[in-house]
Amino acid sequence: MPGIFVFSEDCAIARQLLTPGFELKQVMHQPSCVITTAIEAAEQFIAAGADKVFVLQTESLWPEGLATAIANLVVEEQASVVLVGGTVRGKNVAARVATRLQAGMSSDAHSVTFADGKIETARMLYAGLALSEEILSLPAVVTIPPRTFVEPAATVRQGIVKTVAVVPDERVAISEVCPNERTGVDIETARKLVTVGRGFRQKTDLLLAEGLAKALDADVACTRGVAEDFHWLPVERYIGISGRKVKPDLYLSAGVSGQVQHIVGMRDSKVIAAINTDERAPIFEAADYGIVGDLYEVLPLLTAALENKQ
Amino acid sequence: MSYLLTEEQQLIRMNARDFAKEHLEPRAVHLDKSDEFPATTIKLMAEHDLLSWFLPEAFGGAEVGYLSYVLGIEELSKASAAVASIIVNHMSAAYAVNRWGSAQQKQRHLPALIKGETLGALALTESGPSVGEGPNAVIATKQADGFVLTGNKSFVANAGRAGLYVVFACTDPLAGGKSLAAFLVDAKAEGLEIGLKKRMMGLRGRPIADVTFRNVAAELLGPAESGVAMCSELLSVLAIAEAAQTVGITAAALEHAGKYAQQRVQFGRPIGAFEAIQTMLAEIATNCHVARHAVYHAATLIEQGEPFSAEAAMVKLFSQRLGMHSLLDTVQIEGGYGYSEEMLMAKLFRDVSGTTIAESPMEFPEKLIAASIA
Amino acid sequence: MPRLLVCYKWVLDEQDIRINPTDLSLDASRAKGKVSDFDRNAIEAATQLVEQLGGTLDALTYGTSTVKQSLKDALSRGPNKAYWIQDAEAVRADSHVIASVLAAAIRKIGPYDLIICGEGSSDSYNQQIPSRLAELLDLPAVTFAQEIAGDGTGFKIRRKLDDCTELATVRGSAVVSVLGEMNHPRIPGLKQVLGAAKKPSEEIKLADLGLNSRDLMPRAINKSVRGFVMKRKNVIFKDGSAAEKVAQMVASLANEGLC
Repeated sequence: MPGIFVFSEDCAIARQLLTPGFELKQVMHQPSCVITTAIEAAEQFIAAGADKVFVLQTESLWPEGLATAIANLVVEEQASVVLVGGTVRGKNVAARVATRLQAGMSSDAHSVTFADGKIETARMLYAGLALSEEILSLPAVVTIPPRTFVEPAATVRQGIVKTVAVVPDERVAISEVCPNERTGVDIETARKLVTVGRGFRQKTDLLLAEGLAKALDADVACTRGVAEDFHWLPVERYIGISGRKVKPDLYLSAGVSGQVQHIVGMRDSKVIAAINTDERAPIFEAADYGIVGDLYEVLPLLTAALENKQ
Repeated sequence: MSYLLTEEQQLIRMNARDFAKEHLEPRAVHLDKSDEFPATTIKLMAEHDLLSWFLPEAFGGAEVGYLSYVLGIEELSKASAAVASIIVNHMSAAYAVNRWGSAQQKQRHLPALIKGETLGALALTESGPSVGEGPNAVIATKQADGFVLTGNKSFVANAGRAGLYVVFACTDPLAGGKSLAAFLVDAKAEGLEIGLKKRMMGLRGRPIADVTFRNVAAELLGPAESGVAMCSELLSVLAIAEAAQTVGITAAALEHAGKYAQQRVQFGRPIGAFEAIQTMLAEIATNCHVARHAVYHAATLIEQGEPFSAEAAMVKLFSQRLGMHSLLDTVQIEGGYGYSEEMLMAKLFRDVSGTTIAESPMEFPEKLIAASIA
Repeated sequence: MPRLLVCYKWVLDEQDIRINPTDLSLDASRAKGKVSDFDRNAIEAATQLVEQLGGTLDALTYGTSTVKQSLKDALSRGPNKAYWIQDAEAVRADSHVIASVLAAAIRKIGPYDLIICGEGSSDSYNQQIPSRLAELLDLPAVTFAQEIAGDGTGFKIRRKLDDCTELATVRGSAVVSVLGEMNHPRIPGLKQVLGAAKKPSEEIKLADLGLNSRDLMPRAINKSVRGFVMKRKNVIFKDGSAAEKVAQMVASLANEGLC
């Protein structure tokens, strides 16, 4: 029975994908199915809208090794669309599945719709310079970046849960798994961000930005240079094409010039504000509001003004 | 001669451009401020075979044509004229050894020059009215087993860092400049004194100083009676490379001023929209284009063994004007920013004055050109 | 002695691409070609492996007529030999087609102990080829590598994932994709640039690969491409004292309900 299939090794991401999955289900009149390794999450998937949950029986540390099992499953079930969470692992699995299906695949799509018997997606090209629309014939595979969609609200529903045996892939052994250092701040979910750039002269000066962030109830993020070259902030705080993509309600930067690679990471922010001494800095073209001035002068004044307001 | 660059020449140019962008550009401003010899950079360039260029494969050189060398110098100059100047001076000394050296001299010196273990320098200019005249003229006296040199050379580029000096000296004090001959002098030779490093207006980072010779042992390079002709050829070869430098610096200034004109808004429009600015930029671009191709043509003449002294003089004359006029304009286009030492344009202005009007030890090119027409 | 293969793509330099302000179409007329950025990292990683382990490194590329321009550039960066496949239809090829072509070529010129790719091409950045190749060649794919080490029996690859790093030990052959941050591609020396001309390159004809029309038919088609232009309010406060500008900013943020 053809269906809209969703997979991610991360359950929260898989639930997010049920939102576009539901849209497709309505239009294509096919059930939505989730493929997962977590049997305990099956109920949540059903509550979030899945008609069927396939649980892969595996203890493997290497979700990529599940590609064969998933591919077999979607071929057997005659899936029309497979939506995969665009994590590093997900992209690997998705491409293998697409190859087995001899299907087209659209990577990092930020929208997916069905029209005229085909799947249409929208995604970036040329490092963010351009937007492209792609058309995929069925069956189609699409990877979607995490947090593009919000998961559906849970409702009381019925659904089917099936377990699927998996033959592990012995060719790769995984060891020495080192979790990334977590500071507890996930800038991708922050509602407001104060972003620091190379306009700051030394690490201790970042206190000015922290003061402002406190007054705004915001978190502090940075540009790639501040994290990777200066090491003033951990790499998980940097926004850019090779870093985090953020879309807060407010992105306010100080000492950020606004190079394309950075802008790509924050251009979906609701309101963009910038402080820079150079009126020709490209950030001002990307900003809703800006102050041409010295951050060392402006930040304390701005912090004080915001504190006074409260 | 084909008007288009071969695939190899294009690759060589791209390679020099990539190297310049990666290794020279980020350090150019700092080098200008510190005026300290960029030893690490020169070592890196040697590892990339960028001190070998047209020198023979037999000694480890890349043995590319002179045009390929000129393409490389243009790209390197665009990023850091001071570093390019160190290379150009090194290569002119190496040219002399390669062109006129005996088999033994080549064997002894070229491998070290190619590997960058020895930096070359050319000592020609003197404080007197012309080379070979005046109390400080360097005189070469024949000895039983060679020559000794006594006198003073001014403004020797690479002095103090060079391991080998190519020195032009007179063998007959009474005949003066007419008795010029070329000599090789080891930097470690006894009696060789390097003066204090001079602080110059531009091309900072390239060492330059006076060199005093007190009975310094020297080896004759080429025939003693051919010194004047050798000097003339060497200066022509050098002039073409320096013109390539000027083109590179001018191109950098043009690009910088062009971007500035697009962004700087006055009276509601980017200044690049105003006719006066457009005219200036158009003239610079045109002259730069013409100079560039005249340089390429002159370099091709060298490659093909054709006479090139008149073309070298023309290229020198044209690029002198190109460099100075263009940079005066680009400074003006950038206004206060152009005049400010904080910005790049001031450095480019100072650098181009070094490759054009200053320090070029050659007779006024007009004479040479006029002579070639007659 | 391992046999390594690096796959690379010759792309347009996105820095040279302009957006037409009237209709947001892309103008690539002045765009020069280059070896895709992350493919340079792949070539560098492969070259370093050969320097450490011995063995040989081949390069493989598939593209339109411009692919020939890429050969000397790629060869100057380390590979011993370059294979190339040229076809006018490559401009329309999607990842399905590209992978089919490359896999067929690899079946012809391989086998290889390790096939190395970049994390994604700098133009379309689909990031599919390494995994697709692996599936077609029935090999494991280890993507997003930070480090690769070989010891004669297999390869140990440290990968960087969204929330951790892990070590993947592979027995037998594999396809690996490398991260841009993995290394800093060396700029070839002048003699290496000249030496590239002496290295062999060999064309593989598409017709000799035994592919059928299904393999060569793109499954993902580009419907439209338009430049992304930021449309923001651009209200910039540049006159007056710092305090005045700050007051204006605060008022604007308050208007937006942000403070």
